[in-house]
Amino acid sequence: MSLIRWNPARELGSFPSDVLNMQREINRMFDSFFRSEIPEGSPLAESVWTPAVDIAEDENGYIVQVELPGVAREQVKITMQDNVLSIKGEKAQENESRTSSFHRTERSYGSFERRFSLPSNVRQDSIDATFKDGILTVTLPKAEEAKPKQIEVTVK
Amino acid sequence: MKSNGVTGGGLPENVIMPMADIYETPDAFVLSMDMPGARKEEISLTLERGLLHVSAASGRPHVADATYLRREIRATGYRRAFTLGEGIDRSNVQATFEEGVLTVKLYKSAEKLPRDIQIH
Repeated sequence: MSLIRWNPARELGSFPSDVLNMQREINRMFDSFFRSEIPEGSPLAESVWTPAVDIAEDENGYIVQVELPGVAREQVKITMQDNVLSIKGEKAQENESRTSSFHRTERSYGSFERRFSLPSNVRQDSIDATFKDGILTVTLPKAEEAKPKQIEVTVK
Repeated sequence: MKSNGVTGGGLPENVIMPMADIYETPDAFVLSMDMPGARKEEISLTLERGLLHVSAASGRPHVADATYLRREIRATGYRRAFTLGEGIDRSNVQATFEEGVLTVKLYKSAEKLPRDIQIH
């Protein structure tokens, strides 16, 4: 008797195939937008830490929030090129701590970069960003034509 | 530390332990913690029987009526306690909160400070 590795996907084989196809299709849709773009050989490979990011969408646009505690405002650079939003910067240690003896270091320091490919319906000229309490909030409004429109039809 | 899974569209409570650095200067111990999204007025810092308790709700603005395409930020609050050793002046603790970082300065008590000894 030989040991066979249990493959949970095999059991899914009994699922109706259209359910599986639908799931695959949904996954593909989610993958195409806001996919994290990590080009090979980029300096990102040397990135020391990866700040956590939330991306929310509502009818007016997209809201990207990044946890950047202890990062100075002037150390953050936000760029938009070819529909790719890049947020990068550096977190430096406090001056005083550089000359002190450490008892514990759990916080991350150094350079970071996050890149996201955006849907083409973003109004690139009106992207806005605010920074408060260590959270960077980037607001990306949708173009007018991308918003759902309600059309009233008068019955004659 | 326990973290709850996301169920439905609601936001579960997820109080996490903030990451901390502790370093020593000639006159004090400095404790700094990453607490992004916390609000200064909602941070509680208490010193009781040699324990320093830190807690805060994360004021991270949640976008109502929005669909989340990516959700990596987990904390809805922070909580952590530190045991203070001997030689800390418990009446002289200072705290600041800037850019999502809470910094607590615990001054050493006078007898622990280096002092010059005079030669007679």
